[in-house]
Amino acid sequence: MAQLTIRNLEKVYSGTVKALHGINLEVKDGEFMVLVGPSGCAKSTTLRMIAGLETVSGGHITIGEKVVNNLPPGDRGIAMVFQNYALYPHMKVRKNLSFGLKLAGENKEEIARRVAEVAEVLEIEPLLDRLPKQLSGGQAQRVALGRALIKKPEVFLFDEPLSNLDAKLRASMRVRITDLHRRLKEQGQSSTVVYVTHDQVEAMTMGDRICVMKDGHIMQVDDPETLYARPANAFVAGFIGMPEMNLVNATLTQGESGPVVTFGDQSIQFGKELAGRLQPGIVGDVTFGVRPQHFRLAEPGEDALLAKVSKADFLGHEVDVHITIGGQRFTVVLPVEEFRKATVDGVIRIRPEEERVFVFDRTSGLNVSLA
Amino acid sequence: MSDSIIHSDDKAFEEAQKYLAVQKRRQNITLAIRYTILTVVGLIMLYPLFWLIGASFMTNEEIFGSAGFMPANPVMDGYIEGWQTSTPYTFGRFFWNTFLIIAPKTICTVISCTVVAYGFARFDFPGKKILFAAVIGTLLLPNVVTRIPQYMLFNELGWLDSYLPLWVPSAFAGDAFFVFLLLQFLRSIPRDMEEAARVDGATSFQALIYVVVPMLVPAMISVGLFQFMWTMDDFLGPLIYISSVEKFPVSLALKLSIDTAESFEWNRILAMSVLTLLPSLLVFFMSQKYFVEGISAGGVKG
Repeated sequence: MAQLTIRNLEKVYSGTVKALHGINLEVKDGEFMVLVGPSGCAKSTTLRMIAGLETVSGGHITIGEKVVNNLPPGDRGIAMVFQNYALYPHMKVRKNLSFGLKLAGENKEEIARRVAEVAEVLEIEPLLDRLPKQLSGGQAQRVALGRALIKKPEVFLFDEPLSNLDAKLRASMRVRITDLHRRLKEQGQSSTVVYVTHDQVEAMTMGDRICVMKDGHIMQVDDPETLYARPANAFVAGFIGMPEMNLVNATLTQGESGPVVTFGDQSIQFGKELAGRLQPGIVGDVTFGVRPQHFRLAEPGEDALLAKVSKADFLGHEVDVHITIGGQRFTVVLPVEEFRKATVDGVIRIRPEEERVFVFDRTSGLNVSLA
Repeated sequence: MSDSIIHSDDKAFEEAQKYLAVQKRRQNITLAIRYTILTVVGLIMLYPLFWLIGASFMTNEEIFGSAGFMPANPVMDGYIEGWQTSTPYTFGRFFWNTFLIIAPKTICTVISCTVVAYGFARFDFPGKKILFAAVIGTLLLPNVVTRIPQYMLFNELGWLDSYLPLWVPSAFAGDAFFVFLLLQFLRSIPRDMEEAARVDGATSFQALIYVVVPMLVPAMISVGLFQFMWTMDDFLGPLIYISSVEKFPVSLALKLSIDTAESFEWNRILAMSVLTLLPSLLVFFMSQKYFVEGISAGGVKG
């Protein structure tokens, strides 16, 4: 059992600066949990506190059954992979891998066996007698991964491990890490993972669940699909998804057949679907959210928004269209052909898909269209 | 039409060639001037050293009789007689005494300063700022100021006329300069490796020994070298604390031969000076690579 539980965890720097505001998080045994958020959201601080590299100012961290707040990193049953690999520069790869086991007083045969095992899994056998400076970025990161793996820890901690790699290598390492996680899980070994990244693609493709953080608070913890389809607030809605969700100021009123959303001089009528989702009593100033992919061209005669095209970025099969509706800027993703046909004098008629639009409270940012 | 184009191209090419040739010549001339000046200045700086070595092979009459530094008839008298000294001991004894001071002092300095610098660089503890200010304060304090209180302290301890006052302060990181040097070097080493070691189960001390020290070696060698050379050169320290001739290091022994001989045997003194220089020179040239790396690494290494 290697469940990780965080209760009311706080971090205060030099007595005054509060970096982490009492967060609660539960990572199940064998789960791949991704902590994601913009820089400065305290995701790395959280990870380092789990690792024992930062002191805990309040609350507690439990790994398995034991509270680890005051245990040194080596006794917590964790292993960590660092962003810049942090290999010991003067030791050959073999020694880098075995250093932890040696400190733990493991015998020579066992160390040799485990090194061979890990080297095989990560395909680093030919590199065992090299120094870290003789390795490429991808190789170094595999060795760093091996150093974590060899310890058979209860919880793996990753601190932006792929940030220093180029895009292609990053993609292949992503697959490698998720594969490895699945394999460990199938073998019944401890495979709980906490993975910190600022890259939402990594988060969405790797995580069983994702914890979105901002300014030392947790915004939402959910699986990738839910996070995308049902964001709890405007921040999560804007953070997850590419291109970013359109979040614009709008006025919500009750029309004859359902809610009416007004942007400046234009408005659009929605039907029962949105009406059914909206929390009762929501009218007036709101933040309206719709993803660029969730616009469609309006049929002739249909109630639609008139969008002035300011710029169109062709990406091959589709086009990112930057438009203005009632003085508000939007981005819309449309198939190239359709966009060409539909544009008349730099104006297109579009409609957001009713099932995919969101309404957020203007002040609290909470999603009020989830019911 | 096309002919004329080729023609004009040829002309332009020739002109470019000419221009380049002139530039090249100019470059060569400045280079020659620069090297001549550097060589001359370098020779002037080194002249005393050449003279010292040359004169140590001359007879006393020749030293004062000629201006050049090449001995007309090289003789070993200075070395042979100088080695015997005017005391019951040979110069070998004084070298051994020097070694007895230098060895513990250098080793203790490297160890103690590394530990102290590591503490300042990597840990937060109450009063750290004040303590660090104190360390840097002693760096700025003239050495002479502390001589008398130190003398009285060591007198109380009964350590006079022993080597203890010379190296024991170094065993407690008494040389703030070295602490500072190592600290600057440590600051340029990223902490990740130590953190990785901590996660691997190492204590702070194990992280220091297994991870930090190997990366710190160039700086530690510089510290060792500096301490070696400064101790070799140190005259005032032994002069204050060592009173019996049998315990004299070479720096005092050299002075001794000036004091006691009725008429100065300059060739002996010069010969022994050359010998005294040798260890420092040898050690320096053997470890020059680390030495330079160590001093220059503070700010640059990333």
